[in-house]
Amino acid sequence: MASSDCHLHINSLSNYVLREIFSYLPLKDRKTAALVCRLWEQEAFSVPLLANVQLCINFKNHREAIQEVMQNCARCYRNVAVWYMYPDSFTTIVGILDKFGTTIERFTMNDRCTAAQLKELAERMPNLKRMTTGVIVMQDLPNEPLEFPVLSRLHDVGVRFWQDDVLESDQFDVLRMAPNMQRLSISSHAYSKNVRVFEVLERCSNQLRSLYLYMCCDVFPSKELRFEKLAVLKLRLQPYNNNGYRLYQLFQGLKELKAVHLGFIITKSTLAAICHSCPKLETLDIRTDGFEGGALKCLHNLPNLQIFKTNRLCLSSLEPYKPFNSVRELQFHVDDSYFNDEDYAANLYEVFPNVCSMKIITQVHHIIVCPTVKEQIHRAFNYLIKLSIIEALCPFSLIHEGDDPGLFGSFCTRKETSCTVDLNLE
Amino acid sequence: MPCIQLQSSDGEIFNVEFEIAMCSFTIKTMMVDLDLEDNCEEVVPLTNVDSNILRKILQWANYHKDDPEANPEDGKPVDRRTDNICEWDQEFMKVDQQTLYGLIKAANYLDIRGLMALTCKTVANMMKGKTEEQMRKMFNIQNDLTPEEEQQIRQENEWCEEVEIVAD
Repeated sequence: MASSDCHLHINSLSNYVLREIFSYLPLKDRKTAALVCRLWEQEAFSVPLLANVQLCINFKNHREAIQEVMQNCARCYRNVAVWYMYPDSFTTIVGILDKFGTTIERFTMNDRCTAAQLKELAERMPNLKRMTTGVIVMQDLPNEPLEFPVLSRLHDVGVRFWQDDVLESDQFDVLRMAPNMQRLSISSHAYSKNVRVFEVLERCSNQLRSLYLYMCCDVFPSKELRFEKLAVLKLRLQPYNNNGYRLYQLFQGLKELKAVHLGFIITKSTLAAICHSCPKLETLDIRTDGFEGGALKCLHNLPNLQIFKTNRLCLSSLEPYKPFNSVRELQFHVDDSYFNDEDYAANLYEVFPNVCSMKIITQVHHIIVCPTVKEQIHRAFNYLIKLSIIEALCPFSLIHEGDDPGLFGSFCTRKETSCTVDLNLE
Repeated sequence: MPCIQLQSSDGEIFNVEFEIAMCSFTIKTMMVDLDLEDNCEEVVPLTNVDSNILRKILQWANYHKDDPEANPEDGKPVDRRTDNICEWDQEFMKVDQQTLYGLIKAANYLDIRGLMALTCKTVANMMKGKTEEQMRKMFNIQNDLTPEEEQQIRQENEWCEEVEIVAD
C-alpha cells in the first residue's frame, strides 16, 4: 500500500503547521529552535509569533554590535524597547525603524528624545498601537507644533517630561498623533501649571478608558472634566496637598470606574465620596493616615470590590466588623505594632473572610516580623492560596506595581524578599 | 444513526457516523456546500488522507465526540499550555514520527482543531528543553546556517525578551 506520505519529514509540513507547533513553545525554546536551521529561524520568529517578543536595544551595552546586527536583521519585530541613547544612537534607531517600522505595534523609549525626533520615529511606525516615551523640548525649534503623523491605531500613549514640559512648548501635539487614544499616561518632573496637560485631558476626556497622572500640581481641575468611559484611574499628584473638594467633584463624574489607585493620602470624607460615586469599583488602592473609627465602613457601598490595597489597615477603621465577602485580594503595610496584637490576624479574617491572595509590605528593618506574621495569617485565613511579604522603603511604592518600570520605577526602590510562600505546598 | 462514507487516498471506504465526521470543519463545509446532509449514498473522497491515518483520526474523533466545541472566535486567548494533555490522548500520541506528521497534515487539511492542537503540542513537547543539536538529531535536520548567520541569531536572541500579549 504505497503512500506518498511514507517519507514525511518535519520540514515537509507546511510553514503554517511549523508555526503552529512553535506557537506552543516558550521564547526560550523558540530561541534554540531558531538555531536549528534557516527554516526554523524564519518560522520561530515569524510575524505572528513575534507578538510576545520584545527587542530590547540597549546602546550602553552593545553600542557597536547593534548597528552591525540590526543591519543584517531579517525579523519583523512588533515590540521594540530602546534603553539608553548616545547622541549618535538616534540615526541607528531610525535605520532600524526603516527596516521593520511598519510591523511595530508597541514602542518603548526608556530614554528621552526631542519632540522632533519623536516625530521622525512616529512617521516610521504607521501601525503603532502602544507607545511609551520620554520627550524633551528642542530649544532651537520655533515655538509651533510639529506636523506629527496621524497614527489611527495608536490607543495607548505614555509620555514623561523633564524640566521642560514639551506640551507647554506646543511642539508635541499628542492628540493629533493619537486621535483614537484610549489609555493615557502622563508623568511629569516639571513643576509647571500643566495647563496643556489639562487641555489635552479636556479634549479627550470622553474617549479615555484609562488615565495615569503622575505630576507635581496642587490643583486638579476636575470641574471641566467628564470622563464618562473611564474605567481605570491612577493619580499621583503633589503628595499630601490634594484638594478634597476637587477630588470629590472628579469622582462624581466617574460612574464607570472599575479601578482606582491613589498615590497620596486621602481623607475619610474623600474615601466616602469615592465609594458613593463609583459603585462599580472592583479595585481600590489608597493611602491613608491610618483611619480610625470605622472609616472603612463606606467600602460596603462597593458590592464588586475584589482587590483592596492600602498602606495601613487599623482594625478600628473596620469597626463594626461586618465582613467584606467580595474581597479576594488584600494588600497592606505592617509595622511591629500590628503583630504585637495576637488577635490582629484573626480579627482581620473576620472582616475579609474570602481573601485568597495577600501581600504584606514591611519596612526593611521590620522584616524580622516575618515568621510571626506568616504564622498568624496562615492560621487565621482559611481560603488563602498565596501570601507574599515584601520589603518596601516607601509607603507609596504600591501604586507602581504593574506599571512600566522604565516610566515610574525610579520613584521608589522596592525589593521582593524571598518570603513568598505557596500555602498549598506547605 | 445516519452515516456518511469517507474514502481514503488508497481507496478504502469508511462508514462513519455523521456526528463523528462533523469534527472536521472541512467535511462539514463540504456537506453543507454540496447539500449532502440528507444524502448518505454519496462517497466523500479524501485524496490527502491514507487509510492508516484516517483510521487513527476516526478513533480519536470517536473518543472526543462529546467534547464541547471550541469556538476560536470567542475572543479568549488560545490555550498555549502543553502540559494539559489527557491520559487517553497521551496514549494515543504514542506513535512514530511518520504517523505523527501524517496526523498533523490530515488534521490541518480536514481542519480538526482539537487534533491539530494535540499533535502540535506533542511535537512542541518533543522540542522543549533541548539544545539545538539535540533538536536536529531528534528531527533529522541538517544545519544549513552559516557560522555568521548563527552568530547573528545568537546575538539577536540575546536581546529578545518575552512580554505578555496584551489584548487591545
